[in-house]
Amino acid sequence: MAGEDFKAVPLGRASDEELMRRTQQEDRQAFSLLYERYSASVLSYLYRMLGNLEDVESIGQEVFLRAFRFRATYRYPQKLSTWLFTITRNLAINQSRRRRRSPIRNITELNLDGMDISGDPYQVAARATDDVEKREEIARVLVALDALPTDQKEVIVLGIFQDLSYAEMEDITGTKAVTLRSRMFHGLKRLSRSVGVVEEPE
Amino acid sequence: MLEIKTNPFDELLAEALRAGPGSAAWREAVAQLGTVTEAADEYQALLSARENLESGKPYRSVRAGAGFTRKVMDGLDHQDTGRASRGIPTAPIIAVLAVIGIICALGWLGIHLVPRPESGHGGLSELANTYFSTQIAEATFDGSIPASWRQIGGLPLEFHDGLRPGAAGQSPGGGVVLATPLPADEPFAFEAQLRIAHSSDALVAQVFVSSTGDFSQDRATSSHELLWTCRGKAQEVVLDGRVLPITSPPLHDGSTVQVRILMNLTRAIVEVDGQRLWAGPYDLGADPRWLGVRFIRSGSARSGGIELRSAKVFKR
Repeated sequence: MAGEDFKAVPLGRASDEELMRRTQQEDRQAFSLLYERYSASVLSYLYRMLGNLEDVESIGQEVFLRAFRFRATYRYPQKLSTWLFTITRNLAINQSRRRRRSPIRNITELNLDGMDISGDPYQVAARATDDVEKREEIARVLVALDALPTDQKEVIVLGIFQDLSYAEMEDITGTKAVTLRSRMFHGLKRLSRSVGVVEEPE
Repeated sequence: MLEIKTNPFDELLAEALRAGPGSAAWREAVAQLGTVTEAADEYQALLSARENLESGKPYRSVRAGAGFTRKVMDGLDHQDTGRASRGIPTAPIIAVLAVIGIICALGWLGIHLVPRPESGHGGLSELANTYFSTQIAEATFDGSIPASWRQIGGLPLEFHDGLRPGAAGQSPGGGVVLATPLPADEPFAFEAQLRIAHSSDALVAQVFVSSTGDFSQDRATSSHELLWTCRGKAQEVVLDGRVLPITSPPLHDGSTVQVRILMNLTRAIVEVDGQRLWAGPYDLGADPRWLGVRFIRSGSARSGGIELRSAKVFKR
């Protein structure tokens, strides 16, 4: 029985999986802790994949409401992060199918923090280094990230930005690890070309 | 040309690219790169791109603001409230066994006294979480009305790369409706994409669900309906003529909006561009639902420019 695999520890130090087990036992505080642990990574993943803050906010809410509603479907010992990102990814795909991108129309109504700086590749690059040439390279790579085919962008966002392993990505996307590695190669290769543009001889 | 092979170095490099600078895999891959002769430049370019990504990791990093967290927690409260009547008992095992015993004793009666839940009776969260994966109707209105739709009202309509209202003559209203109504107890999603070239208070566009289908010849309206409407730059949700309280941003000229109405027998959700405008119970009875879009002019001039680009209907 899954419950026997857990030891009684203070809520704040409990593993994600134990918090989910407690959530399944109607412990709302446990789910609130999971929300605190994962809200930033879920929202950042959505922002990187969808690029539209309105979608990020609406889908982000839906992710956590759905995770709570369907908490009974989580099965230990699956990693909670994998389970949660599978929900997130499916909702993001549905949203992408449902609507084409639309411009941000009323940013004052959004309830997310950190977007003012992190959404601009040039500001991000400026914070990363004082080296002007390097800044340009970083910004070009970030801009080029948006233009990647979705499957290549996804593996870069999940693997690099969300720091998930190939095995975890395999579980989330249902795509074999060897294919994911190939997408990682080809995605980075395209990004490297974006930097190459500035290195052309005068 | 770089080709992905399944040799040990490529596997090491793939892991290094994922894990990033500073990782053990990265150090080992860089060390081994010196021994690689084929495609070494391309490998180096990959590492360089990866380093740039590492520096740009804060890109699009966002956190939940207080308002976002409040919305999520309110949503959880709402779910809890909805489930309160069937909350999972946490009482001691003996109490659970007692309850099971009572349930068993009353089971036979319960089966006959409690009506079976029918599809389409679910609450709001169930409706919001429903996957409407099966498309049952689609129209793009390029040249004519598709066979599964029919025209209503007397306002002339123009079909070319979308559906537009013509100049008002005898009748100010006209539109299209799905020719066959949907059963009221079967949840559905109705999506209409409208392009607002230039808004005008003299032209109203409405996406509606009617339970009567008695559309008038002059305005193409019916006696019982839930609808999303836009007049000028303002949008409203109206139920049986009553404007429902919503907070919505103004529409913009030159924009394309996606109106989505989700509905089961007793609950409805109205969304625009993925943002919920209104959600709640409604009462249009158990009669079949007629789905459509109409335009109503308040003058004869061709003021305002709104066109229906597409309409789609989905069920589970």
